[in-house]
Amino acid sequence: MIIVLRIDDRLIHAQVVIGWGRSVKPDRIVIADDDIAANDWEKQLYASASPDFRVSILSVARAFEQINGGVFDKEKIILLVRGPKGAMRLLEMGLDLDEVNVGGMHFSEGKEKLLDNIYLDEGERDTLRELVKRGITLEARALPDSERIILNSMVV
Amino acid sequence: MNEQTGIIVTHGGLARELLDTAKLIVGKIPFCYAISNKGLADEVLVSKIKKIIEETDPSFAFLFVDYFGSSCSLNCVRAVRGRDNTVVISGINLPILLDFVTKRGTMEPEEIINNLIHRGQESVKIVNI
Repeated sequence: MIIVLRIDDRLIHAQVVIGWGRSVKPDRIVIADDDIAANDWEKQLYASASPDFRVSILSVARAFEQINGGVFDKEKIILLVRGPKGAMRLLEMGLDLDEVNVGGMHFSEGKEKLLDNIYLDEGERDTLRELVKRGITLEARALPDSERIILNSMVV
Repeated sequence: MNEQTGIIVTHGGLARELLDTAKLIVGKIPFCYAISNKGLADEVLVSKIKKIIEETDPSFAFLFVDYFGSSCSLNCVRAVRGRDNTVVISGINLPILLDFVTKRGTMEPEEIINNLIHRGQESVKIVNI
């Protein structure tokens, strides 16, 4: 059972492990990311970062297959993608969700600030816009008890 | 080749405050740097850390992070990947930092590392009587 699909370019980090972990008590954190799934060094790094939860690091397609196939039905999972594209791909494959948490998209060169923890380049803004068109609610919330800001009208 | 350099990488303003607080106790602290991960994408943080290491060219680099498994800790590991004469230690606290700035240069890096970890661990205890 997916508790939250979160866009967060830091993937597994303190906010997710402590902030979300303490509140939603997940059994597993699933990272859906093609690059990391294909990179043993990065996989090992993320796997070592979270001793308190089971961690799965899968390509986006494999993550969808496993979710859709019921592999995680008996677990509460936090599903993490690095950017809007990952979320879009999962939804296009048929992931049944109507809300995406936009948790962290941090600053790098060429990105414009939307909120304190959300900086976007044009491609990312376009993808968020596409998600809105699909009827997805984009909620920006760094932590479960942070203010819930709906981004839908801010990205169209 | 320069000194044994310290780089503290933390959430929020903790690194800066730790360093400033240590300076209140021991005075000037050269070759020690504070970085916050606040608002920074992974690759930006990694390049900041790398830049300090390249520019200071330390004989040994001690990287300190506040929380194991955090983005600070992961990005330090990324920044020093493949580099010799470097260590990343998590769980920085004031006793560790004070020990580092007073002991560096007086013993071999391996000995300092053991000392720092021991100091950090033994300073966490119940003290009321």
